[in-house]
Amino acid sequence: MSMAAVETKKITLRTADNHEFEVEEAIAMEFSTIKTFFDENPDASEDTIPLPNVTSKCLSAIIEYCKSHLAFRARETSSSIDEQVRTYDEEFVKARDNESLKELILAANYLNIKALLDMLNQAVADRIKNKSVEYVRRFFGLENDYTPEEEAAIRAENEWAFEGVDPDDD
Amino acid sequence: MEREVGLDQLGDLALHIILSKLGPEDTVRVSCVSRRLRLSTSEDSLWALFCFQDLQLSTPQDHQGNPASSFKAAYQLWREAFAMYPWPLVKRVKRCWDKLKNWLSNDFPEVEATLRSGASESDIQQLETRLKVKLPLPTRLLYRFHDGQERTDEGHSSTWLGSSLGIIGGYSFYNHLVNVYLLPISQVIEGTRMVIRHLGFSSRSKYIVVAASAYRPKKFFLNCTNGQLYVGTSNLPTDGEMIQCVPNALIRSVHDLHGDQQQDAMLLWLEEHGRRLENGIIKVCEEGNVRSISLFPEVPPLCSTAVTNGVQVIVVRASAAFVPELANLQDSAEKYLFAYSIRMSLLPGGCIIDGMTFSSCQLNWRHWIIRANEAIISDVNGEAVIGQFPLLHPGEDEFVYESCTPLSSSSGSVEGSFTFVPGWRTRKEGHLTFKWQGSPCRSQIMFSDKLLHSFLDSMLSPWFWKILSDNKYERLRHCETLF
Repeated sequence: MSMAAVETKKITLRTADNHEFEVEEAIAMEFSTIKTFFDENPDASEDTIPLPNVTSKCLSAIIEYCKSHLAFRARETSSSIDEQVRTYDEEFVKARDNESLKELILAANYLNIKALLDMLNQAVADRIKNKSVEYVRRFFGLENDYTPEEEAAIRAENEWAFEGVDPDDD
Repeated sequence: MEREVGLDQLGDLALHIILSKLGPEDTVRVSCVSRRLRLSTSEDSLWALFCFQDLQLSTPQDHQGNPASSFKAAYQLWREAFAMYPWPLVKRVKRCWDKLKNWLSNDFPEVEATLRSGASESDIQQLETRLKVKLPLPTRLLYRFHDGQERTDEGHSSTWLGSSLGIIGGYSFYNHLVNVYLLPISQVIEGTRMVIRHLGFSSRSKYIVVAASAYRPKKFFLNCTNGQLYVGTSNLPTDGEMIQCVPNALIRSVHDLHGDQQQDAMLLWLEEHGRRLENGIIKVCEEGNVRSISLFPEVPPLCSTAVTNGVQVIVVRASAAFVPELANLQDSAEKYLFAYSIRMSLLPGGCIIDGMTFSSCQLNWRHWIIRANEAIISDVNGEAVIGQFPLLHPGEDEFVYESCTPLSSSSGSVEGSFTFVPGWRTRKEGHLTFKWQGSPCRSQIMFSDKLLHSFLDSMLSPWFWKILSDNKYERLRHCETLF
């Protein structure tokens, strides 16, 4: 016999490194990929959902993020709430190194969490804004595949873009 | 297992978003990183966004309006064309012109058609060489976008008769008619030389003439050293007397290529003018068949409205404009001259008194008290206005008249009342003449130098009307009938 108690439904997610996470349905629905899956398969609620593209490290961070933002949204909007959201977001990205930032972007992209993706992209943009070409290269771990002449040509064509660059300090 | 996340794996969408947040300069730098990235940075949708954000462009074109092959190419052309200027200033000057042109295209396209295309760097160089000045940066940019206005009247190069298309506009009262144009570089050179010759300015003076009226000798001078704008008073020919147009505190960094805070008086003046036009504070007026921009403000608080108390029948609107070219700073009694424009109209409902409907109202009497600061300098009580008894019919265009008053101070007021008679002043049928008592139109024109936006050519203190509180005056109760 069950009273009409509100049971928070839980959904199980399995990461690439075989960890299982049990999350409340509300949080899982923040992942548009999962939401779409359930919209199209309403009876599949008991299965564990595999997420082969997401590591446990990423997923736990993402779950934290979604939990916190859901809690913020449940409260009344006000400028002090906005301030708290901003602070939370800043803290969320501040301590992460470039690698984990990029991993999070991949995961957020795969799970299709729009707000998180936007916030992470902004964080990346903030980190490479006004930086030198070399800095950006290192950030993305890319090799320079231009010849020196080619690179010089791009710079010459676009002199206006190369003024006022921050000096590299690392 | 840690793995390096390369950019490729970030995905095009994330990369596109990052680049759009970075902006054009950083996007170009990213394109230098590797060939793979160059592809992403060349997406034209990205450059369409930058063109829109920076320049409000929705089609790819260069700064002269010629079509470009792509948004990326267009953005490049713009940056190259203005490479010698701080980009934030370029964007700001473009926005200033865009605001003026948007208003003109809707309200006064004839004036938009007079705007000449931009001067080249060598045109500007010529001006600087010939007049031995260095233009402030914002003014240089203003000319790069538009080289002043073309006059359309035939023939005369030094007499500007018949021109009412000045973008700055003007006013007219009695026989004093003013309409101010922005001068093209060729006229700046010629006009400045004339001023040096005829008005005895030193040939090393840093003043250049930048705007002038088509009729009366109203001239605006830019001081190229400090970036301030001045307008000549009535003593300009004898003493070179001028009044400054913009608060000094606003002008900064006019010759400083670095930094992004440059603003000179010409830019501030035009921005303010654009703001007033956009907000309908000043408008196009038609007199006879001639349309021109009138500098008499049209909306509160610079324009006051008074209605007949109780029964809203007659609306009187009034505003004023400072007339600097007739000011005489050396005359303590009549230092400043203000022109004012009074508009009166009878509302469509007509005039109903005691159940009787009148199809018209006529002005009969006028009472003014003019104060300079608080001292009464003029108290006029008499018939008519400018010798006329305007007859108002319901729903007709406003009856407008202009007049002026000199003042010893830059702060003062005019308080007045009009008395209207329903019907008309004398009815030959003879048996009834009504005189309206107890509900005159009262308005007080106050001018105050605390007005924030007073620095368009009414630099010192424009007039404005203020409606006195209603409860001082009795509602319309009765009419006296006179036989």
